[in-house]
Amino acid sequence: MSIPLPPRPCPECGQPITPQTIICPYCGSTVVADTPVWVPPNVDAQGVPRGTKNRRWLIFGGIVIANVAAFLLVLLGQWISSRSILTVGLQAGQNLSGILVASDFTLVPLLMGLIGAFFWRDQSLTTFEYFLYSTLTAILSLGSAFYFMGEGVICLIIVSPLLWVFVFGGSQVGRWLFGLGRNRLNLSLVPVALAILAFDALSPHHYTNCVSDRVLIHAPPSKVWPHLAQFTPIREKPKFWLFRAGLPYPVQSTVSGYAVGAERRCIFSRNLVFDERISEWQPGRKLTFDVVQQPRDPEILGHARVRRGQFVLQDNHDGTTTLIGSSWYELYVYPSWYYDLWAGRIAREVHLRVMTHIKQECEQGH
Amino acid sequence: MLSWIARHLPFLKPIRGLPQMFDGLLYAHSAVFRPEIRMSLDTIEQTLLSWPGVTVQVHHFGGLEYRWGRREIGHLHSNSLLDIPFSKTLRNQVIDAGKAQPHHIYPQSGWISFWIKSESDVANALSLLRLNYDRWQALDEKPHE
Repeated sequence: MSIPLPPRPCPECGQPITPQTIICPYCGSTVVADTPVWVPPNVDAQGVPRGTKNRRWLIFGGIVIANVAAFLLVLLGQWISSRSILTVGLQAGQNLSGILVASDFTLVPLLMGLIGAFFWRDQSLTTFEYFLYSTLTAILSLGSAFYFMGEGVICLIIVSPLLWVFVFGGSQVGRWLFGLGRNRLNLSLVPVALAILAFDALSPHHYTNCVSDRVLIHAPPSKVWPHLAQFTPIREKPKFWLFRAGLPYPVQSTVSGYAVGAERRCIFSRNLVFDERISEWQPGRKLTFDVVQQPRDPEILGHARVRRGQFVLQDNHDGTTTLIGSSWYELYVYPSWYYDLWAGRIAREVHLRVMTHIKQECEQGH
Repeated sequence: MLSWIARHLPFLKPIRGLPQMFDGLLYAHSAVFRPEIRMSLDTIEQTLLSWPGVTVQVHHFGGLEYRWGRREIGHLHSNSLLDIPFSKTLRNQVIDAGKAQPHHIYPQSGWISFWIKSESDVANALSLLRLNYDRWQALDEKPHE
């Protein structure tokens, strides 16, 4: 609340003007405004004291009920997806119920914000308070996902910007909508949102992508080739911040043989192993392997699946070789435009860690 | 960015909730990357709400709209752009005095725009808003509940 400052005379005409006046309404001259002094208000715009018991419960209730509603909506989406397998008869073996659709990360958080705003609508919250309580709502849902759904910390870090932005955005939309007082129109949003969720859950979801990276190695292909199928342990500590935060990173690879059909094991940190089978073996040119099984780690499980990896050697005919590493992966979380930004970056960092190590081994003549 | 969108993508404005959502994103951006701007926005919001008779509602193009009864004192977008509706005469006085700029979209109108670039701009922003608040009060119109 502003500390009331007394009226002061205009320096030009002497008429009383308010402390904040910058143009005198009497003589029109420009005057310098007094800096308003502000202290945090302990009453809201309607003069109701802040921090009453009811107010606390409404704020807390908004946060909790928004989370409960979100949980039920995600379950509903999963149920609709699993029903679609039975009734529509989609491709055998495709487990749509494991897919988290775009609505789960956009529409549902938006509705969480709307639900929160509904509870907070009469509390005369400031924008910062909306921001704070929306953030708490998002944190509670992340904590619930960690505790009840066994989600990994890295996954939660990845999802948090999307969740947070939509919860807060939803709260601002709700603040506007509930301020209009057109409750019938506002209520009509509920079936529309449910229809969008159902449509999204019923739609087929299939997203695959391939990421490729290149590294120039100062050695001929014949020297590079022996290091591709298996390589010595990478001792260097990871530089990528997600690896340092706990996301598994590649450490070593081993093979059971040097031909198509041989087993390859790509060992990641925390002793997580990707079991692979060599599907293309063209000495000095190309090595392709299909991922047979990936580790059951909460950071990976159910969100993405690496399908295939490949190394291609390009002879530059000047004693150097261009090593091209590629990975094919499938996403089980949507919207793909968001999660692919992360998946692509992680795949790239995996490539660079392995390929830089191979480059060092080749150039040091190991 | 807000001005660019307002100029080049006007068809987005009428989509219900989209401007408010976008403004929320601007606020979140300020909160994370420009905390001094976020604090300035909060100071303005809390100071205006302490003025007798001032009410706040979300502006139909995003941001917060402060009102004296049915009259708009001004609205503040979360990218720290303050828009205030003055009379043409007052608008010219304010702009001639170098206290504000012509409106970012409608420069010929009675509206003015004022960018809050640092905490030191808060006092000037409040002064401009107070000018309009005093103007509406001078018309002796009681706020409509």
